[in-house]
Amino acid sequence: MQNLGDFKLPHFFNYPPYFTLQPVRDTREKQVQVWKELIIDYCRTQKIFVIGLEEEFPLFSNPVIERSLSHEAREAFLSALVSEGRAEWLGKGHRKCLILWHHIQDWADIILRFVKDNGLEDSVITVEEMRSGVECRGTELHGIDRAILMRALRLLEQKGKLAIFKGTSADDEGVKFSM
Amino acid sequence: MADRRPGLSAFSRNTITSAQYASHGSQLRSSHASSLQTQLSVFQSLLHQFSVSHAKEIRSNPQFRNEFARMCNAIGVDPLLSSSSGRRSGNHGSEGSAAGGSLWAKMLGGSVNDFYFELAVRVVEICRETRAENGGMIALTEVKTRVSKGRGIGGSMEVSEEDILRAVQSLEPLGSGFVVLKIGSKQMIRSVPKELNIDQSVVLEAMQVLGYVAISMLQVNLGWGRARCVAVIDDLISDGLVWVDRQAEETEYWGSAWIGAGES
Repeated sequence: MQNLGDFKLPHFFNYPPYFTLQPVRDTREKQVQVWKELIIDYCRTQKIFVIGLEEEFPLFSNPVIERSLSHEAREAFLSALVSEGRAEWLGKGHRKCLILWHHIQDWADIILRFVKDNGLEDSVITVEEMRSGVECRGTELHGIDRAILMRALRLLEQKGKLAIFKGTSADDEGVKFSM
Repeated sequence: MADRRPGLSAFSRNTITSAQYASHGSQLRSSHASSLQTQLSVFQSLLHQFSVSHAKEIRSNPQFRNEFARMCNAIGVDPLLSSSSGRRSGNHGSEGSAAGGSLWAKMLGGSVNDFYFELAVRVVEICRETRAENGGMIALTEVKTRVSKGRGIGGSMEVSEEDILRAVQSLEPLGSGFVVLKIGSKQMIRSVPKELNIDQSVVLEAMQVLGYVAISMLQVNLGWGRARCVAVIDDLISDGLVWVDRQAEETEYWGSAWIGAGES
């Protein structure tokens, strides 16, 4: 079995036909399903949040068997993820795709857990600290895509769990929890 | 062996008539028959005890099961016979065999039947799970691999190919539509009613060599015209038995029955 770094690739990745969009409906459905699962698994373990369709994404080609996914195939698989709410197209045109291997709601729950685990219920923390500070090391928040983090925070803000405010530095925002 | 004839010196030959021989003969037959009956029922209960006390081995050891099955078949017993089926395999024509068959199964019952029932269920599951990828035809070796990996009911089971074949055969009386067939050197389990015609079987067999074929390969190796090759391939693709690879110099058609897709 091939590995991509420490990620174990599934069997089908070594079969040439899986890199061609299948013409028969039932076969295609199965093909899309296994590719969707692979993309999600890979992004989750490698903490990848955005896939660019025209970029060198390791899953899009297998040099060992000299096969790669056509643009149409890439779009088909990612669109399937978008249809089931596990991804979103960014910007106009289907060029970049945000991968939600956790739903925004799941990220919100992770944030709440993080706050409880670190006793931050009445504290203030910057958004940047939430994703790269000491407390978040070893948690899923470490390295989280900033846009996803903001959306999860806004969701929690709507539920009255916290307030987002502009910080002193130009880029950074802060979060005050009230849980 | 001691001479069982009555001491002939005590009688003259003339006194031993054929009628006496005849009655003596039938006495022997009936006493043999009853001792045979006794032996059989002793054997029956030993076999039952054996099956119960070795339940663990029956479950865990494929070689053991093979030997057990061979032994049962040698004496005309189908270890998997369900009591509802009147069918018997390995019939050695022993008397009272029809009723005896289901009795055997009840006795051997328990461990052996449970094991094969579980296995049959697992095989059905695997065929169902993979149908979309392989069009309802899967290699026996592939089924065995998946059973050993154990994701379904009962977890992983250590089984031999013969075990799987026995389990599939036990499904037949249920009208399940599960059939074992041979493509070239490989045994396949087909779980959809669609039958293959000869051309299709031949092409699938050709795919076993490299895992795939191309139209020109078929033309050269089978001596078929192009139209015939294309027609057969199109059928196989629509039935989901073949996947297409367009990134080779000439389009390649891959047999799906033994692709272990999606499972590492």
